[in-house]
Amino acid sequence: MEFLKSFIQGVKSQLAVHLFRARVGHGLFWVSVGFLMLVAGVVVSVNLKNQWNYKTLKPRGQVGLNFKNSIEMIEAGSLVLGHNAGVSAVCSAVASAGSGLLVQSGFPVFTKNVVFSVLLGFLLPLWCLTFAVEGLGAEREGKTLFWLFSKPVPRSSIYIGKFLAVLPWVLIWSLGGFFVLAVCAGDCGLFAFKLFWQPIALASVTYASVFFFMGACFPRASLIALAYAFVVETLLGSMPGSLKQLSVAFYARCIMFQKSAELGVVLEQGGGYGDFSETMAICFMMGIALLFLVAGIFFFGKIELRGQR
Amino acid sequence: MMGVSVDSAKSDAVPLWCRKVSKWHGNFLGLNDLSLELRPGITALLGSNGSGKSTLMNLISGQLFPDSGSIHVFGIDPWTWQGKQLVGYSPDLDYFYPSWSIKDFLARMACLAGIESKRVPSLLNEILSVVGLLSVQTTLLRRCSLGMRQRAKIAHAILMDPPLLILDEPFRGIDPVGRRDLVQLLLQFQTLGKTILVSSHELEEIEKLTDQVVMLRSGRVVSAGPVSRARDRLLNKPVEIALEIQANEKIRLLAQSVLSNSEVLGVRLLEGEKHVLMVLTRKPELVFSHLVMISIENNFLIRRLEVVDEAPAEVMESLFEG
Amino acid sequence: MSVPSLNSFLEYRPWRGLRNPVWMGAFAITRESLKLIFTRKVFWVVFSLAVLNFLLYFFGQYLFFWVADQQPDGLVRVGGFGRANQNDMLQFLRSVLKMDGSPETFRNFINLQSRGIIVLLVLAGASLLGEDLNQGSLIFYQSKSGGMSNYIGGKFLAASFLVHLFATIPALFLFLEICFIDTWTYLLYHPRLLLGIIGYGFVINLGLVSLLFATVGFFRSTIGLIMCWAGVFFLLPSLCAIMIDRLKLNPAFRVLDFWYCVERLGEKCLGASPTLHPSQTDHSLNPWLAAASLSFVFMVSSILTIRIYFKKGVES
Repeated sequence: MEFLKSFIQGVKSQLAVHLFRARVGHGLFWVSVGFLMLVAGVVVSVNLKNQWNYKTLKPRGQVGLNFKNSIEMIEAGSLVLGHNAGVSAVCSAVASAGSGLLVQSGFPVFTKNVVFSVLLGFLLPLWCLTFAVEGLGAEREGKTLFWLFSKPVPRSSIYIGKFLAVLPWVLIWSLGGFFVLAVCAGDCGLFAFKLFWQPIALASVTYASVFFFMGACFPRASLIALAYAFVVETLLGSMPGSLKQLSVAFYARCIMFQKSAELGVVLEQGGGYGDFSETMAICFMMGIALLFLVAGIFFFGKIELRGQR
Repeated sequence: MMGVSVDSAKSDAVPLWCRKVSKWHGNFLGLNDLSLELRPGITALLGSNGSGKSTLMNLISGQLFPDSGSIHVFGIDPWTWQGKQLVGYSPDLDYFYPSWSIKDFLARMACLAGIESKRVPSLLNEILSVVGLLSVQTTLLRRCSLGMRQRAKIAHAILMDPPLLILDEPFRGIDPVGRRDLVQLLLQFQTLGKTILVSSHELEEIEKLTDQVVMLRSGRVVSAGPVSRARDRLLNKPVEIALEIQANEKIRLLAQSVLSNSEVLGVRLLEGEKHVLMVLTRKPELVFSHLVMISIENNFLIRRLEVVDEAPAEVMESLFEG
Repeated sequence: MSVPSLNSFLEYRPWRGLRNPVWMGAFAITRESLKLIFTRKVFWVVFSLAVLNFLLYFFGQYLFFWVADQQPDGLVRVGGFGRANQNDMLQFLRSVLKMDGSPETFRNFINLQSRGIIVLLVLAGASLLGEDLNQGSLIFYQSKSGGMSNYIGGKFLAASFLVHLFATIPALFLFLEICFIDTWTYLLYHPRLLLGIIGYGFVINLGLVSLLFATVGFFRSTIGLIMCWAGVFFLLPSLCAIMIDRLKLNPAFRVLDFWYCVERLGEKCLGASPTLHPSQTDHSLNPWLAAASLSFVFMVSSILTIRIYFKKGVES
């Protein structure tokens, strides 16, 4: 009981001291800002060219014709076949339905090219890493852990308190970054944001837990976290086969896959994303987050401040 | 007051009780089967560099965990969070949050330590004035001098008003006035019934503070007891004086005259330097006045006079060997 | 008789030797920086990979000429697996592996080697340049008569040496090898190739080293360097791939992709034809645009470098 009281007190005081004091001026932060601006710039320029749709894309197996050409051909066909009212009507119906679809096709194109690949596979891990590794990693590198360890509160409360203090920054930054990209992409982007903000937020929390663990328990944590982000999340995550199930991004993609499948959009054929149901993927991600949190508390409780001088 | 006792039973009233404590740093044995018991009052911890002073202090304050043996502070293991309440530790590390001011630093540390926020401002005022930082409390820690940071650390140690204070090298970097104040402060704490363990190389300050000394050597307690014993040994150690004269043919005459003084234990010539005479004595100040007399009498032209001092660590070393 | 005292040895004597010109100090800095890099494990790992790649190309060339020298339309024995048709094998070496001594051979080789340079500079670049900024040891260089320009020159030479050690020098070796195996007329027929190899080497040198100076100066740590270079060498190409290959935007957007521009310029130097995927049409960038992109990066990097190193008192 006394432990619980002291634990809650410890978490509260960590939050009070560290919540609004994330370091934002360091190099990694500016790289993250740079990446966001870069991708946003690309999304805007694609948007300005009005290319977030299937117009210029070619149907699978077709050579030479893209979707827009095909529909124009069908439309032309309805004029040529004007003498047969029935056929002409069917043709123009198909053509107008098709062009309507083309205008609405921004969502899958944006999701596939930006959210599914660049955001989940590259930007999100790096953004979460920037803040989460800093949490206790900066205290480790700056050798200021002593000031936390000398307080009469359980170590676990320090770990949890610091994690909770870092979490809002991770969430604000990743969801904010996603929102900026969505706004840059226009209506289709905003639709994707509304649909996918939950898996992105869940993935950020999971990443935060993983990277926070690394920051707390490894020396030179940033390097290890970067290596993890590139090798596991970016490379393994985009590999065919079942190896990608090791990455956190895979489960986020599963949720997104299910959500868009409910709307009748298939994001990626044969990626194995349909194998995990939404609930299962959520459970997996939360499980990973919890696992790393518990492991972090365990190892953090054993840290001795040797060689501080 | 204090002593090394192996058999004494652990009791809640004993401020510090270590029994057969060992601590490895990789392949290096930092503390070797150390047993120690402290009673209220000030105790000095002496030892050359690497003798295990900081390791012992880190263990007592619960920053390290002993590989074997056990430590109890008022009957509680200092590694646990309950133990941290009882120990105020000013470590020999110089890492801070550089962008915080002294006041912010202490206020946040007070918050982390669980002191009610209502009490914090008055408490800070009190503590800052005690350590003499009240006028510079808004200075950023990265702009602080070593002495100011040292005081901030002491302020941090007494923040929780702990019954056991562990101060690692508190005099390092503090100016003479500050040292005097700090000595006064620690003596005050002593009168309040606190237990204080201070490590330092400044024997002068230690002498003013206490006569109880624990000496460490290679991770073991080599002696524990009043400081006067150690001081006598230190004073009785003979010093060597180097005398260089202008004309080296007079050097034998000089040696003869110097030896006539009863305080001189011996003389020797340096190999290769025929005009330098080394004089061994326990009381250099008497030899100096005698030297003035004989140089006027015999017309010695003395070009150089130097007390060949040994490095403090070596002095300390000889102290422990003796 | 006067006794020589200690003081007479301490009297001032003017220096009577010959002094090197001040700029020679840059070479000392180069030498020391290279020694520093050679003590790093990562250098030897990357270097051995690069040597493996070189050996692959070296014996690939040899195999090509050996196969070509066999009896026409005969069968060539391939290890213990059996025999392969000579023409098939030549075709394979020529069009798939491109190990026929054509400009494409050298382009592929240098492209692969430069991946190694990127990895090396990313992991060891901070110890080549950033440590001096971090540890505050720049003051020792500033206090010398050569000053910061010597320092920059020396470090630039060191980084350039690494680039040429990995890319230009082995490529020249390959060229020489073909001259020996083939006939020396190869040199007469391909004088441009020789100049192209050197030219490509210098394009990589200029691009990578100036980028290294600016990013190390700005971030000062390996972490920042990795993040930033991951953006340049990973994020930018994939963004360009999305824009151009998938969404069919204007191929001129490739100017954003710095590394593509460097490779494109190298391709132009060597006179190689661009590689295309089966379904791709030639979307390659105008070499002048590529040159403009490279010089933009070079200029921005130089300005940043000068601002970082020459401003009054570098803070540690």
